[in-house]
Amino acid sequence: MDISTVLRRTGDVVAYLVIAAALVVFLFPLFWIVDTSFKPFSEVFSIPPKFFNFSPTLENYKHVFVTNTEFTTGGTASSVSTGFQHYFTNSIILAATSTALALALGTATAYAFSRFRIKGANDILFFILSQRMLPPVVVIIPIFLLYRQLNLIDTYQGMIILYTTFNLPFAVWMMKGFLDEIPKEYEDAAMVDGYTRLQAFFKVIIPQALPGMAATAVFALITVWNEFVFGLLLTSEVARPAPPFLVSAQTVGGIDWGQIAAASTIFVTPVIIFTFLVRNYLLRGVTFGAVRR
Amino acid sequence: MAEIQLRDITKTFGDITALNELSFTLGEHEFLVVLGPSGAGKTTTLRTVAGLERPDRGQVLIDGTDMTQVDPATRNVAFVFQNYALYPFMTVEQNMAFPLKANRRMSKRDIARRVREVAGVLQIEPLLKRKPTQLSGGQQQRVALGRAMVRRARAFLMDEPLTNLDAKLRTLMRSELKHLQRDQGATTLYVTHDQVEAMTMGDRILVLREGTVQQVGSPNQIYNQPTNIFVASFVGSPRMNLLPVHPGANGNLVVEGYETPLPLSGRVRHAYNRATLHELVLGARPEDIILSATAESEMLQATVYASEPLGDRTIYDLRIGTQLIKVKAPAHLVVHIGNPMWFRIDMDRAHLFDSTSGARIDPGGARSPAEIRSTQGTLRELQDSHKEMEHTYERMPAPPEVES
Repeated sequence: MDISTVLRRTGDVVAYLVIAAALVVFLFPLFWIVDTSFKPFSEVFSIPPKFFNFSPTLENYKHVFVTNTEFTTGGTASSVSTGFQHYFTNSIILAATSTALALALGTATAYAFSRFRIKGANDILFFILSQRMLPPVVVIIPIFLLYRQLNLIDTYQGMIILYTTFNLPFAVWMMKGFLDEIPKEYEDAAMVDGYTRLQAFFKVIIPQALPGMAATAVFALITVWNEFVFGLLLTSEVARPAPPFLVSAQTVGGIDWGQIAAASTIFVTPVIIFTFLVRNYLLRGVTFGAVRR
Repeated sequence: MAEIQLRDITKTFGDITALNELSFTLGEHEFLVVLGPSGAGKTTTLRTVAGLERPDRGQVLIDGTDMTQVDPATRNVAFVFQNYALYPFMTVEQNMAFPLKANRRMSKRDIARRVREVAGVLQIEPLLKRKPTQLSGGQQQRVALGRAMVRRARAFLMDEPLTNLDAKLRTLMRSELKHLQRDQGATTLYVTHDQVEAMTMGDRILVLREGTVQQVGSPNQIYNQPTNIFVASFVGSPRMNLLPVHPGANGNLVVEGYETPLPLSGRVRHAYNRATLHELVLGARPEDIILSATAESEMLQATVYASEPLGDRTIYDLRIGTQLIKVKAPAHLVVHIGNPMWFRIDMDRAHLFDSTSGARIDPGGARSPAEIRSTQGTLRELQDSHKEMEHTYERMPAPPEVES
């Protein structure tokens, strides 16, 4: 082996080491949570911290769905459902619906801005962008009062409207960027060939906008999926999503971290699966600065 | 096939006037080339005919019917885009079938058959299952053509389809396209900035500049009877030589910066006599100037500034006083840089232009009957070329009419 090969291979090794180190840093919290979820209560805080040498248990996972009330009036233990499925299902409904709505409305809006001459387009677009500059917490009180007035507290409609509104500015801006990259000759060609603009939009533009839509969907989904504050304050039982529920795992003996870890692991899984499924689109979508024309 | 007419089309984009009272008629089966520099309004013209742009004023008539406000989908014209606009997520076959699926009136079998038919004409059958990104430029261009041809539309609109091809392929496709157009008898409106394409392919050429028609005529008319300096210098390579001149004593022409006056004769003299102004431009094409390595009578002296040997001929840059002219010379005439060369401008082929307006000064009625003065071309030429084309197509079997 000559010196240049040695240097090159050393460079490769160093690169891989750096990547491995970065991966460890980013993935460790997730690993720790999953790890903790299998630990019995007594071993969660053991010092030195145990990574693999503990006796794994599925108790935590069981407790996510079912609590054992240790003492009842009759002195016998009984099982009560925690209601986790309900909150988890709510999260799915709220996140999926609001993401789909934001994507649909956002793409349509972005298309209009991209293809048509709209007076004051730049101003309107900036106004839309400025919604993201507002920390949502600032408006929590006014929205609470508004929702109470409109009887939207603790309703699916109320939460979906709210989450869609959160995601719309982002969706419009992301999709406008993607749609601008698609030359309008494509729908021109379809229209000259006999299609209406609407047909051309669905048959010719959307297939090419899919990477952008996937990227937008993933980011929107993550935002809504993890949303905590509004979920906590605007709902109580019916429409409550999972995050506010996750933190309430308290037993007589203190905060059951193992149970929280188990619930978190379950909670994180759908998003991981979804992102994995659209990973090809996501890769193209996230690098949308690179022109492929 | 349809006849297309534009009447006084005006289109503005904000402050910019793209088209300014543009009018012309494209006859049935005719190949009309819209020629002009970038920004002239060529693509806007094409898009207006297609219906992708609505004019602010004026009418678009297809076969006599006012289609100005009609959707592009209903106009039944076919468009070939400069960048082909082939749908990258569909195969070639699906791309070509796409226009036929718009109305859902053709059966799948008929669609497949028509696609194969057109693919056969264009010799792209082996490519049918490929995606556009797997094709070369020339293949993509033929697929774009094929997609335009499947519908049997009544007119073809082409936006610089050959621009993105390499030079060799462009030369090949020029004749292929023209042959195809003749074969199909297709009314074609073809847009380009390449004057060679215009000259070699067009039945007629419309020269466009900043949204205004400069001249419409056959390639011969455009080349030999340009209506103004712009047309004269845009067509022809190397460019026509333009020399600022003014009248001299003894009724001859003085080229600015050159001491020896040019004797007036021939067509230029007729034009000169009709000129009312004194600031003139003499235009002479590089092939209309005769050269000699030795002094001859009636020849004037110049100095060789540069030479470009091309093999079959040589182009000389000659310095005439302060002016520089390009002249085509036979290959065997070799004179080196710095040496003198003698020239004579053929006064029967040169032109006089008014230097303020740029308009050519008409030498007068005592010329050949085919001379064009207006911007619309002679009616007779048009009628003659129409008759010839219709005669050709009367003898062809009509293409099978399928609803499209």
